[in-house]
Amino acid sequence: MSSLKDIYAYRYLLRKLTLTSLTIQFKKSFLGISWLVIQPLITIVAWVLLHGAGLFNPGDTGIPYPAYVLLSTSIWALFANLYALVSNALVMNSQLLMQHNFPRGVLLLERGAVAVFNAFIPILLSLGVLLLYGVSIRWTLVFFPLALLPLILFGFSIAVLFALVKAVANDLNNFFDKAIVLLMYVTPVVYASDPGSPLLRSIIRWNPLTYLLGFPRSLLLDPVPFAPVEFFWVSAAVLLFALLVWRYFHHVQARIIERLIA
Amino acid sequence: MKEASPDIIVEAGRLYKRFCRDMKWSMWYGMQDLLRKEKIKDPESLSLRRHEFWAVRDLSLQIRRGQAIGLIGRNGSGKTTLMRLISGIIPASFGKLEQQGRITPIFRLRSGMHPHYTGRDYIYIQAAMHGMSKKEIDEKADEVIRFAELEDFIDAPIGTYSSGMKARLGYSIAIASDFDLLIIDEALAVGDTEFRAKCLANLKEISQQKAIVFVSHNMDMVREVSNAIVVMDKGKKILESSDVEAGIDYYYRQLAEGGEKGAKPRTRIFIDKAAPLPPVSHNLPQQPLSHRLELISLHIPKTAGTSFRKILEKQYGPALTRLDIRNGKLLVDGKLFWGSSLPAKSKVIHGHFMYPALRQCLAEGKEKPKMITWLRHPVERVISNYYYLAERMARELNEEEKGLNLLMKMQKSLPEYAESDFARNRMSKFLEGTEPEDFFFIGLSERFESDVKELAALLGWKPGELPHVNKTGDYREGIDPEILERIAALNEKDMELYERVIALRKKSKR
Repeated sequence: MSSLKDIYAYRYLLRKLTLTSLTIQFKKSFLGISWLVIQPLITIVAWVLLHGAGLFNPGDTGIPYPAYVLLSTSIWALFANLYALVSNALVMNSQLLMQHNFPRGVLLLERGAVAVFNAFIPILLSLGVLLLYGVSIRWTLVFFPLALLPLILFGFSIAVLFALVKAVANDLNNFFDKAIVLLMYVTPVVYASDPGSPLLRSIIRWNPLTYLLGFPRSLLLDPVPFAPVEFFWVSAAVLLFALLVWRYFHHVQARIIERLIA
Repeated sequence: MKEASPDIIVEAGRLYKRFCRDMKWSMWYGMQDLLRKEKIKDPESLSLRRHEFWAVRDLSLQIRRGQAIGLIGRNGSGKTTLMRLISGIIPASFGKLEQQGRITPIFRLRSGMHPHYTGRDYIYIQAAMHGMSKKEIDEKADEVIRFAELEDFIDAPIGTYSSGMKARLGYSIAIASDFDLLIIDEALAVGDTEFRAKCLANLKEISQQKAIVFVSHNMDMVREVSNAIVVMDKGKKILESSDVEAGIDYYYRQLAEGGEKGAKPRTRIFIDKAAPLPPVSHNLPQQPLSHRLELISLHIPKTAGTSFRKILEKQYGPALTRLDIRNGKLLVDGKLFWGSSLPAKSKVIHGHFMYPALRQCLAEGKEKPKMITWLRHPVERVISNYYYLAERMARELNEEEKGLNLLMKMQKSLPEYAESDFARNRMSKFLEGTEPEDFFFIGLSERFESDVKELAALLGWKPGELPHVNKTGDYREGIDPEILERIAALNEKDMELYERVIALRKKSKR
């Protein structure tokens, strides 16, 4: 694909932008990079407190609930971050885009890399918390990063589509930005996979995120991996989807960029 | 990419770019663009969608190595859009665009990067966007910092830089990239005078082996940098010339006509409504204009042609069209002409054009139009031309009022003028490629009144009063006979022509 070749020629730009973005986000703060740890800790404390108040009944998760939530939300954050950062990649960089001719995919990939990196720390952190709670982590852990790839690819591709739409008009995004929060509640993130309600159950069943998130998570915690067959097919579909989206982006980007107002 | 001469960096043919003025409609068209690509077959017959306009229209341009093109035009004339098209930032709606080599654009708009980035980050990122590799940047970073004179600030956040500092840095990065074409779109406008001077010197050096397009409203800088000029208006290229001064003058005149407030012509030397526009090139029609004319009146300077034009005006009214061809540019009724045919009503043309150039512009039909011209004794004509120019210059410079008396101080004398190639044998040059016998009528300005009467009878003109003709008297009086002899010798060809025509006239009278 010629678009990937173009990006390869600009690989230094991609690397430099990613590194600078990562360091820049906490540059003007005393605590600096430690915010990467503090932020997820705040989230988990909130969850534990809410749970203590008896607000939720998360179902049987088999492991200490706070650790479970921390792990799940940090995996979910990978998807949510990807969407949030990548879908804004074009709009936020409209000035650069109107001044330079370079492969636009670089900006999307850079945002994607930042999102993945930012999500990576909470995931590592949550593994530490699991150990603290005395949960033994399975050896299948080694496949965990690989198993996350389909989720990353899916989040990235959806975000690329919305990045294009956003460059034209904001309406759909305003809607989808909210929808993605709801999406977390129809994916087994903060509760176990059997919610009881038949409607919710069937939504969860047909939701690809259930498998994209559930399978890698089960590699860490469960003796038997969760729905490996479904995971395989969903992953294959995601790969196809990603290729189509990338191709589409390559075709329309030139005439969409000009709708940006720099 | 097609094989092209490596000297041609950009080849644009019939470029079109349309934009939408209204944001809501632009969003709607953008949604359509997401779903399909519109194919445009013929942009001129395309009816634009609501609120759309051509930001660039039917524009052809070639940019060659060694060229430093000054691109000028009013605000909103499409300059920046054209530059974005050429740099590949946005796609053209229609037309051919081929680029060779690296094109580095810098625009005035220069934020868009996080203000916490250090100057050094900025160098690396911008340079990488210009397509430079890490190695290349490492090698050149110090040079960039030195040129931008930012040694003490380079590790400070760029958010703390002044706009001039940012412009300096942006320019320094751009010239460090190994470009073939550098586009500077108002990017130097905010720099201080000293840095600008440095850039201008630098640009002159660069333009020897590379190409530059310099977009600016600062005509002094355009003059400094450019060796060619392009003027745009309403998305079109209205003039392209290698004569920068003429282009700037043309632009000012266009500004004055357009009535943009506050913009006053700086130089009025060339401005004269009756005179044709300054030399420009490239608007001669690719294919001859096919048009049926009855009469062609060729006006050799200082041969009573202006008086004759007044007579033609009376006789033919709107059917008379002024047409001039000078230095490869075609003017119709005093304006640069881009069309493919003359106004339908015109039957007669009159103006300054050399015969070979006319042949190039007008297709020859079956019925040849009648050709008329006027001659004058060559020595007399040269002297008259000299005095005319001297007088005109004095008038334009407004010497009396200013008390300058420049002309007296640096006047070119008549013998000097007569020696120049330009002044010699002008009548023969105008009639090159044709014979006096081809003409329906050749008048002599010395016998203007009687010749006009004779011609009126031949053409069956309605009787009318002849306009008063200025009797200029004999210029030769009081001039050193040696000089007169010299002028006659210099204009040997014209002398021959003149005598030949007199003989021919005698023959036909009989």
